[in-house]
Amino acid sequence: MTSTDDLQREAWRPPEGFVPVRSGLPGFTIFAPAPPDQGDPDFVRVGRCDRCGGEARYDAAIGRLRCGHCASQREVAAVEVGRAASEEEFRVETLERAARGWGAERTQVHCESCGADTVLAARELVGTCAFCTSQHVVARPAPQDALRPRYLLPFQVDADEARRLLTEWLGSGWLQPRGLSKQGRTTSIQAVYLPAWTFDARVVAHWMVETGRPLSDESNITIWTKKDGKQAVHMDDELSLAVGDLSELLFSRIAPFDLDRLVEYDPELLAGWQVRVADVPLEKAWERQRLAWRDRPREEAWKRLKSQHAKLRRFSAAVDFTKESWRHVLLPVHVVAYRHRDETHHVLINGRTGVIAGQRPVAWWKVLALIAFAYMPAALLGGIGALAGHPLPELIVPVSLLAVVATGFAGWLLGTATGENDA
Amino acid sequence: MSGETEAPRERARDVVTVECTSCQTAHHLLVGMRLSWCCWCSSMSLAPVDEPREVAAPERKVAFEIDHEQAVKRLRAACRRRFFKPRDLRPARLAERLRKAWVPSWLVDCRLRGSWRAELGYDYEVVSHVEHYKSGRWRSEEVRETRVDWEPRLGTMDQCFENEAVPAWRLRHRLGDLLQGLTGEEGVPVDGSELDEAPVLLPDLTPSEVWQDARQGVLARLRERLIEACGAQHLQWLAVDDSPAERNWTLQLHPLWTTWYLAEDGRVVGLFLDGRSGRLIGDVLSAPRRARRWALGFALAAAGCFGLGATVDEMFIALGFVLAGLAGAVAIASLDEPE
Repeated sequence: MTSTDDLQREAWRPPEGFVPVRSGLPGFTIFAPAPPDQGDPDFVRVGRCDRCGGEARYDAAIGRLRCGHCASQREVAAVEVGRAASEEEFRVETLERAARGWGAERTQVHCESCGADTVLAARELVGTCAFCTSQHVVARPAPQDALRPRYLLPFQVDADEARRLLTEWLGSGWLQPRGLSKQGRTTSIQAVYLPAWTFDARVVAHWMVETGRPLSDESNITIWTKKDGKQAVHMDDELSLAVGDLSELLFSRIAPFDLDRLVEYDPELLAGWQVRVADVPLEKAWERQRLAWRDRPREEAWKRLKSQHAKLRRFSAAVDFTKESWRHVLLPVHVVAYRHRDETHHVLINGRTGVIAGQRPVAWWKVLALIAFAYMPAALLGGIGALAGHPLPELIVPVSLLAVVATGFAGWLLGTATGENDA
Repeated sequence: MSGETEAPRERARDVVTVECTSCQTAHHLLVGMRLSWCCWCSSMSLAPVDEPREVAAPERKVAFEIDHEQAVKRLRAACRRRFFKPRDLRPARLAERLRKAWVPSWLVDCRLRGSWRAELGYDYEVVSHVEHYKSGRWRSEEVRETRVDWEPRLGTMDQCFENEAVPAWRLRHRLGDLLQGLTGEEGVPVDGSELDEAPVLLPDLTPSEVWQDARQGVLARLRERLIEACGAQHLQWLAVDDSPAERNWTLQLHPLWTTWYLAEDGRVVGLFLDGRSGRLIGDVLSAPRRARRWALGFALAAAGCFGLGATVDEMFIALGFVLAGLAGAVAIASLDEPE
């Protein structure tokens, strides 16, 4: 016979959003909050047109999913979270507990030439590597041990706009070879989501130092006093690129990325786009960031002390990292790799702002001609003066001045020319 | 109250009931047994009750593990703790008055069924770093820190709890935390023979009166089980919507050695020893008046020494300091430890 209690227990239902979990003891049923949505495992929905079933692609220009076959459009239910995007702690078991995979079937393409790994939609094939334009690429299954990015910035600059920016940029330099802008119209541009880590931390330096002051105005004896204090610096959303084979200098030049507009990861936003696999592990990226950060509070403390005291010695500091957190995000970047006279040049275009940075070949004959032109006034003045019979001491001053100006110009010119390829 | 089973009631024919007119505690005594003072307040004003109370018969008892000799040894050790103690606080006197007694408690078995909500804590480790800078060099130190992740959990339960012990008499505060850590598992069925040697304190709380106390104990055990069931390490709060069923009550007796002494001001002070652990419950008071007399004596002697030091020999000043120090030490020794 069923008692009233039994009926009540059977009638009990967990609230919405709770799912059953295993109980370690008999006689208990346990419900826990459902884990956050890990993305739709049904990859058929991803990148498919609802109407005709054709390949659909996220169109950056309209911000919607667009079918390449019937041109129908669909909204992508991406939730904008901005900087409120949740951050992770540096848990020991992070690698085991973090969500893995990409939420949809994708293929990893490995370049045998430069070693770059790129993730593509399942049926997409590329003939050349986006990073070195090599034809030697091998398709292999995407690894499932990569920490899954939870937030991304969708593309806003589409391929046409990127090409326009590239062509403009290639044609804008006056040291470049003639016809370079034409190459911008034919070079292939790969729109790639680049993985990156964002790091936050409060960095506090607890410093100790001995400050010195003279015993009296006339005395040479220094009185040393021990002092201590602390200097805190709050680091917020510092970006660190998670691919090792891409120039960090170029990446820093196309920054910043508007992290205020981060959206939650949705496989549909990646439909039709390439995604690079993170190959810089979280620990390694964090270590690099930490080493970059640890000097800041120490340097600030040192600078402050230097401004307050004439003599300092035995400075030491313990830099404590607290409130450390990280995020794994995908950033939209157009990657261009073009060849000019057997040399590969890389260009990056910020997929949000259109800021462009890269390497451009230099026409050295133009540089040399400009340098020669710069020295010409000095040479002319010296030559004409000598021919006119002016004594040499009178000519030395103006000719030297012109030569100095010309040397400065030549130095700047050479710096600009070599800077075009320093990344 | 569903499935309620109370302990069997009986009216023992071979026992008499005496009640203390001071603390109103009733005792069951075997016919022929003599009780000169109340086991709990040590008052001598005991009066027989004409109509013995009908009470539940004890079904279980926790056996004495401390015999008379061990109890005396422990009392002697307690007396040694005081240098200035009341004249009546002598091991021989305490041993003379030492007697066994039984104090009652209720054991309840019950079944909790219903729903629960809780916030459980799961430990996790995070890796942090401290960077040390000295003499132009950096040294990294990894620091591991354990933090707690609090997560809500809820569900249903159907749990049986056995032998949750709660005191069955109102004056339990007199015995402090005698029942702390006591589980019903230690009890054995009553055979009657050992009970005959000692008075039995009668329970003056009914099962329904002690249920709320027992429920707290049951909930404490439920918390432990929930932590295990959820694989957690901590539990922050627990809300239970339960309907206790199948409650079975058993009267259990606990062993106690009781004795008493007269304090310096003439008050009767009871001392108790837990019959299982030998733990002393009660105050071993000092004799402040005696101590003050000694302190005064030392102080006067010190003053005399200071006087001699000023007039006869400076050596007396040193002796004066020693005596003054002794006077202070005696004064401090006369202070009772805070309870």
